[in-house]
Amino acid sequence: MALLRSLLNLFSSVRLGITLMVLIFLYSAVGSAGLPVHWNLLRPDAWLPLREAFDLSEFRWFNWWPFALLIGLFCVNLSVTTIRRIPFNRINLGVWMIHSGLITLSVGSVWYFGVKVEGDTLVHRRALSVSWGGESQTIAAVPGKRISLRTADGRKADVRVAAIEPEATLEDGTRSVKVSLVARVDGKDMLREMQAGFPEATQDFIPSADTTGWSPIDGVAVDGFETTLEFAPEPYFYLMESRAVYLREVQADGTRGPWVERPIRNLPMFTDRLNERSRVWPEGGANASAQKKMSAIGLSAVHDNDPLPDIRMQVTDTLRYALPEVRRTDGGPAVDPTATVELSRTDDSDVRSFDLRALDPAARSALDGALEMRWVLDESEIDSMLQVRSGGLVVDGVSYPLTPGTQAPFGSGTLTLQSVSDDLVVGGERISVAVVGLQQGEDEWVRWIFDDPTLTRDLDAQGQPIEGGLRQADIVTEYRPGSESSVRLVAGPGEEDLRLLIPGEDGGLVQDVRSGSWVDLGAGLQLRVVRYALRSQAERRPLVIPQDQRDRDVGFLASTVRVTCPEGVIRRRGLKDPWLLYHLYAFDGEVDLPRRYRFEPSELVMNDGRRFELLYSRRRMKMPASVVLDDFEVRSRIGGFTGETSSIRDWTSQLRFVKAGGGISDPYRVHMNNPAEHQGLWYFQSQWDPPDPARREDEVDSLGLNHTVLGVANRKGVYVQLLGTILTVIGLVYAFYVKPVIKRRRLEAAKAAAGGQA
Amino acid sequence: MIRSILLLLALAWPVSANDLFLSQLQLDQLGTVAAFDQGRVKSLDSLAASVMKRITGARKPTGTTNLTEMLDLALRPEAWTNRPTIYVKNKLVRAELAAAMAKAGGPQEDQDSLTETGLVARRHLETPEATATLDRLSRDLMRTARPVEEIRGALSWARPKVLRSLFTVVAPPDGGFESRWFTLDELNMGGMTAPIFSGIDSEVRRKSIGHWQALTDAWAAGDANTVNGSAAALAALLPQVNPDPEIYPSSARLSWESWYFRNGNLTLFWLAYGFALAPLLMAVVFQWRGAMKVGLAMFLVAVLLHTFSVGLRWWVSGRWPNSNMFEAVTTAAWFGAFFALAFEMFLPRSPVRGIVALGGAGTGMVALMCAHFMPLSLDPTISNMMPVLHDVWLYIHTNVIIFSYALIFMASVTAGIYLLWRGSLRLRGQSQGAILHAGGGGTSMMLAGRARSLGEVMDGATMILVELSFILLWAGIVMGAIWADHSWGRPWGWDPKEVFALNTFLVFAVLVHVRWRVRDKGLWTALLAVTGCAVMLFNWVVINFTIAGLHSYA
Repeated sequence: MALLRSLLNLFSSVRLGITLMVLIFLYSAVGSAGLPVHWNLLRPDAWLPLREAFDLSEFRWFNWWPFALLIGLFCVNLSVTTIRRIPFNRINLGVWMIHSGLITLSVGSVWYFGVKVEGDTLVHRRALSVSWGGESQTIAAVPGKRISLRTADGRKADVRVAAIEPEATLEDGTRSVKVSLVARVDGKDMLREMQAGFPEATQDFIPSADTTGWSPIDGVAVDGFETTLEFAPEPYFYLMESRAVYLREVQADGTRGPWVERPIRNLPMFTDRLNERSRVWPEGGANASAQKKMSAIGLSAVHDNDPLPDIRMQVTDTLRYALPEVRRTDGGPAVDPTATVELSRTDDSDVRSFDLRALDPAARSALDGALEMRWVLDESEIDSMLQVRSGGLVVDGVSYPLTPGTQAPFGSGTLTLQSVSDDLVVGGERISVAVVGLQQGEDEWVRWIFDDPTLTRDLDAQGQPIEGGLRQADIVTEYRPGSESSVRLVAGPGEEDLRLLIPGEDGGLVQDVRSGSWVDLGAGLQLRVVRYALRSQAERRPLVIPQDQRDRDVGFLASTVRVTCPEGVIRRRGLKDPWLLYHLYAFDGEVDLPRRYRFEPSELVMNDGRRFELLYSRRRMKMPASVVLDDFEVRSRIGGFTGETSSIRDWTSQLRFVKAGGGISDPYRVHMNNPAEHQGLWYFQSQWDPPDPARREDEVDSLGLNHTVLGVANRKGVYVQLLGTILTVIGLVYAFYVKPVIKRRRLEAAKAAAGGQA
Repeated sequence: MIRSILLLLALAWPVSANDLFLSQLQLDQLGTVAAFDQGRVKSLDSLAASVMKRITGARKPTGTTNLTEMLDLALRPEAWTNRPTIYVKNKLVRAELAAAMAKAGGPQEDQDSLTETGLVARRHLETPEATATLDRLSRDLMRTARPVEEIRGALSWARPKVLRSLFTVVAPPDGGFESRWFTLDELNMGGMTAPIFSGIDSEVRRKSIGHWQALTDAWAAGDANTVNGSAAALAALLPQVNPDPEIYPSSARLSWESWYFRNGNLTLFWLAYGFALAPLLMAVVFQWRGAMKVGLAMFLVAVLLHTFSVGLRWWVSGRWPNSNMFEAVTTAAWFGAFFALAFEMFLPRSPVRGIVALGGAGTGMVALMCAHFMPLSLDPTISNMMPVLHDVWLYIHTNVIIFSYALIFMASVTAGIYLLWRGSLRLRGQSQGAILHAGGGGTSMMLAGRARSLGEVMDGATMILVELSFILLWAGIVMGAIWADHSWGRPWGWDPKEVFALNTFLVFAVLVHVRWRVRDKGLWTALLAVTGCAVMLFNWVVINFTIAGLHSYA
């Protein structure tokens, strides 16, 4: 009883209330801004993000037990103090309303945050279905996307989405997205234009007589080649601040089952945690944000359709900022000589370092070819390398410089020197090649000009060999590899042999090289080899981004986790302990992948030969009804869309929902500040698909508006919160402005009464 | 310090023949033509102000107008080769670039100029040493990547080709609202035959092309008279390309916009508040009636001038000015000052006579000084609102919040005076008396109609402001939550700005309860009022500029 009285007294204390408010203030301040570590608070590095050091997001920090405890104690304090110390009367009505309002707000918040689900979903505007010869396939309608169908009897249809006009209209002014696709069906070329929702407006074209354009035709270009534009229902939304690994089986014929989710619970998301520091670049994990290990997180099967229900995988490492990178490491069975070379002036302390790889044409030289590394099979090659050879590219009798990127006219066209690769070892022979792009009028092709002219070949613009070898045999080309001024580091033929060669008219210079010793090159230059390995191998690991180079704007797109499987389960293919890159969504594959989104699943091959794919993304939740994007509109300001967001007034997604019994709902228009509710979930306009020009030759431009990203959330308890806040506002007004008036009137009445009595 | 002033003077002083040419130019009329800028049609002066701010950081290397400098950079770039032009804001980057300049053999005076004023000539940024330094600094994403990005951006903006592409002053000839605007160079290249310009009256088209050509040629030749003539002719011709009022703003609006930007966004009105502050302070402290009358009259003038500047910006921009930091600060101060004026007008016999006006004058002066002296942090450019801000709650939530912030600042002014008064009493050994005299809420004191000492008056005034700001802040937070609920999908996201608005409220909640508990109510009230103001300013300054969040556009 005494204890209860003590507790009641404690919780009736205004001092406790003030203390709790100060603690809530400090907790909120530290969790939100961080800890100040520099006097200049405006410096970006003046704030130590304490919350992230605990691996907590803002949402989790304010749902953590210390904050819940503080709020709980505060509510108890408010309740007890109000009941015990503040009489419920006209004077104190305001205080009662404020305190009860705050308790109501807290109760509403417990409900709200206790059941809160929040995430987003990407919905394509249309899907394109193609069927032909008994085969069919469906892809998202995205410019540049391709489908290949092959019938049982070997016939082939290649289809590519050539263009999409997102804001096209029919003749009567009705809006309807227009999709143009080009196809080669059983050897016949065709172009088809389709209007979403209006199959009767489909128009086929065939190549015009002069093959420079397309001619419209009545009817269809190829019998049986059917295409339709359909809605692309999306059943899932992906939860904020969640992580999961997705798993699916790959059948022998290449078909894939559905992704099955395995949640990753309590994954540290802000700090790097490395159990094996030898698995990252740079070796030892020097750039990692925390020198901490983490307890492996089990990935158990939680869904009935999990394809590997008995295999329990684990997440053993996580990195917040990392990029996959392939580097060479010493060792392995294959001869692949590599060296790290330093070059400096003899009178200067500035040293430049170069990594060279003798058998890789792209990595064998530095300083525009002035420094090279080579591998020789026998001593006779050394003599040949010491000779000064005058190299050159000759086209139709005219010499061109051997500088990659050189563009120059030749005959009636232009040539571009794309690359030069000398002394490639192919089948024990050495060959050299210059790759030259040639253009004459509309014709473009590539010629591989070998030092052995019998090997010279032409390739078309798509990189396919041209029948007969050369497109225009009358264009005479010749390539001779040069060796005029290179300093060469030569490995071989013996395992330990490493020599420095400088070709010269007088026979050149050959010198044995010892690792670590400077060699004088003359002209005030010196060189030394700091590392040399005859055998090396490629290894793909995540490169941990240094702390000061971490760009917070990339969000979690540069994060990665390492997943391990039990011993003896994996058979081969290198990905025994794969690092999985983060994906925003678990797309099915290229078929539904929007432009510029990542899709790089990892492969697992089991002992029994079965193949699986793994993908790292967020947890997902099924919506009560699949959502489809009927239309997407952009409202511009004056002058139209300029490419900048500031020229946009609003984005609108017109949504529909798939009904349980079939059919589709009436449209819902969702735009900024105007969400839509459907079966307990709210849908918000979040992101859009902006115009995206082609960045590579094999891409096509996109006018955008091919998908939308919707925020999806519930909002239970909001009205309880609102009631609490309104009570508080009314209470504040009463306490500050009504209560003093009542007290004043009572005082004056008392004075008047006292005066009357006197 | 003296060297800095001399350098600034030297930059502003016309000393060479080139600057003489610039000083002879008369581009006032040209500055009032309409120019298209990312979804907004503004005056050319307004466009030039926003462009040159990105390059010179709102400094004026030639001492002329923004439009003159923009045209000179575009049409006569050789005159700018050696002129310090590119503004480097970050002092660490300045020091590194000065070191790179020294290594490259740059003149000592240019190094000093960079260190002191932040301005550096393009040629010093294009040396191998400076390029290597910028490359190195750009890799430090935490500290120097953004300043380097700004420098590279400024270098890019300052290219003549880029600048010329910004003169989008030819309205769409076809009349469509969403049709694009064109530059004079595009009109020139299209000549008299390009079909896209066929909607323009042929005479207007021919003359426009001719005058633009004449202007560019004369500018390169340093012929000020021809430039002035061609500029005036273009100013008369360009509005005729498409006079549709839906497309081309009225000449009155464009002229006022130009005037507004040419006059420093009227932020010099801080002086009016400053002039009112002195007599009000004397009136409050020494109870001089004459000073009170003069102070209130000057405060009235200051509020009217401030109202004019807010109203002008409202009319020119076509929306209530509360969508960026400049507007939030100046409009918040206007709310505070207007409240103070209304308070003094409608409650002339209150015991806090003149004190609320004193707080309002202090708030207005500080806010407008910040806007005047920190144009890079408080960017005065009028730009479009982000689509998410198009909602009625922008007007309700934001205005209520910034009004409460203004009141919190005003409360800190009166609390500060109270603390000074307490300090003076302490020096005189009379602080014990002050403890006994302070007390009572703001409304109670107003109802009582009297106060016994300066401290009680100040304490009462602080409480009047704190009580009102307390309610408004809470109501504003609630309104923000209602808006966020239907805009972002959650009423509360623990965003730093939300958290520190709540923390400001918590400080005042502590104030109310501490006042109830402690004996020395006046002292604790003043200390917590100042603390609350510090938290509010922290939210506005540190959270806005350093710690990113969902409210980063406000």
